[in-house]
Amino acid sequence: MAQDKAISIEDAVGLIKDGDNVAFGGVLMNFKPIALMWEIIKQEKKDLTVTILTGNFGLDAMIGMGCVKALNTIYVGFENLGFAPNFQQRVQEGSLYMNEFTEMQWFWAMRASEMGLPFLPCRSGLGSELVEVNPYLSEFDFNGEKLIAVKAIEPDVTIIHSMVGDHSGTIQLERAKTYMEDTVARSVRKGGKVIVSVEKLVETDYIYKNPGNTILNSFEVDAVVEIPYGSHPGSVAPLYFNDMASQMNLSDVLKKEARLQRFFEKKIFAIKDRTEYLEKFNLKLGPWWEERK
Amino acid sequence: MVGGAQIGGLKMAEEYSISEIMVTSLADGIKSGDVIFQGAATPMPMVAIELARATHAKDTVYFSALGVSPRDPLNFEALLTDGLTEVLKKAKLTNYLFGREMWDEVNKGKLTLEFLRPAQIDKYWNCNNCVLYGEDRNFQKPKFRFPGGMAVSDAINLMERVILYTPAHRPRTFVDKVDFLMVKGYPLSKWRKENKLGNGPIKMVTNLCIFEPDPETSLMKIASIHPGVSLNEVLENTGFKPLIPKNIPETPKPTNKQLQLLRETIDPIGFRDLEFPELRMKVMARAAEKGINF
Repeated sequence: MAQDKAISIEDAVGLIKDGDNVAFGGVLMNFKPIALMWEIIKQEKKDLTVTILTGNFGLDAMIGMGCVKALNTIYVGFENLGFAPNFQQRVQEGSLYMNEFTEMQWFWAMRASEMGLPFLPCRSGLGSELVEVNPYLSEFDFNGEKLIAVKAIEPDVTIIHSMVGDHSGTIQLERAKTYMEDTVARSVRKGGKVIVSVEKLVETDYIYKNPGNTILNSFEVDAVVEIPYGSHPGSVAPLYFNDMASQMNLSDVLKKEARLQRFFEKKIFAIKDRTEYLEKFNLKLGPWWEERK
Repeated sequence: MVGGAQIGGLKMAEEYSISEIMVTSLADGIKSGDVIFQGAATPMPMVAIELARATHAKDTVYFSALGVSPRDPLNFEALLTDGLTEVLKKAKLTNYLFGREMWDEVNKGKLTLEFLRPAQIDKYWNCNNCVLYGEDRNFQKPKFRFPGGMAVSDAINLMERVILYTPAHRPRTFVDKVDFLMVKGYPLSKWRKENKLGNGPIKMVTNLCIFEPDPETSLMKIASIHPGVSLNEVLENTGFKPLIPKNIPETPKPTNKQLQLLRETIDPIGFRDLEFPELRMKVMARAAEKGINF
């Protein structure tokens, strides 16, 4: 029998060391591995470099709770709900280092790593001062043509959230596809760890029914954690959608350090397991979760 | 719609609002056949795209951050309110989460137009959505940190055309020189052709006027001023001296047909006003009456 990669959320996050570069999948509030982010905060991880396309509530909470030292990103904010207060404050006071990319450059940095190449070239960023402030970027000449070289970001740990996974680490999506979660997972450095939280842990017989749904093969994944509503209060569309009431509450909580501490102690750390979390936030496991075995 | 009310320095005419003349000016920039990429949380362009699709540019693909809609209205109500992914419940999409591969198509020029709102722009159309500097000009310890450039630089560099807009024409947005050169403007320039880049920003629509680039120098030039606005008002609210043509045209007013479409079919709730902070509460109240909550 293949190695059982299904482990607890505590053990999965235990794979992360202080000071690691950790990459997260998800775009805006869709497919963000929020439950794993909360566990990172609970385990008091320190000095992380976070690589994330767009950072929202999860990232701002990690920053506010003291887990993050540096960022590789294109945006940190709450869209219509405003600025991310902890991100903004810490960058302005000089205690959070910001490597800013354009969206294409960020994808190129991750794709280069995914492809096992040192860099990828692009035209995006020609003439920009981003080249001067982001060490991953440099201008070069190719047969007389000016291009930007985007150096591969090689995370120590990559973390994504998906719908279905089996004990061997095969990961699937249903009625959806990845924005770039497979790229993020595969961008991990040689010897690094790939952690995937899934809505439902299934037997491999279930995977056999739709092998075309697979986004990551078992040999590409180190740990699978079953976490229903693992992106809550964000979405895993079309399975579930944003919990706007919880998001608005979070956007408020994040503004005051004392409130943020209290929120995590009372509302998150005090919860003993996922069943209690689902009850507290009134989240129902409908037929989708029941039918998959 | 509110006769005589004063918003952003402009007295509104009796028969249309500032957001309406901005929306029709944005829609004028759309050509049939355009493949438009439009990011989230930009209500005026979203409304303008649907207006163009209902009038002069029916054959236009609307490509949002999360989905592609070649034909049916994308339902910006869903995009703006319950969270981006709600669009899946309400809109007819032919693709979903088309992220990474999109950039390959941008490189090859398959996406033709995007509307963007810069935080800071200068006379050469250089834009900055990153930081405002203190005296030490330290990117890692700025005076003010914006959320980030997202894909603004990619679009301004690579897309065939970019149309900029801002509902708040003021000196701190229109500056002589940007604090941080996030993306170089220089529309239509030799520099762009030599580096195989797109045309860059070809228009800027504000609450007071429309700017276009001078084809020789790329400098920002007044293309038209909205009815009821004086040249002096434009100059007082611009942090540099733009090029001024001898005869300054007046921006065309929205037509009755456009106004009817906007108010009755495309945007009855008035999401186009969301970008004016002073009107935000009113829009939210109108939305709440229809059971749409933010």
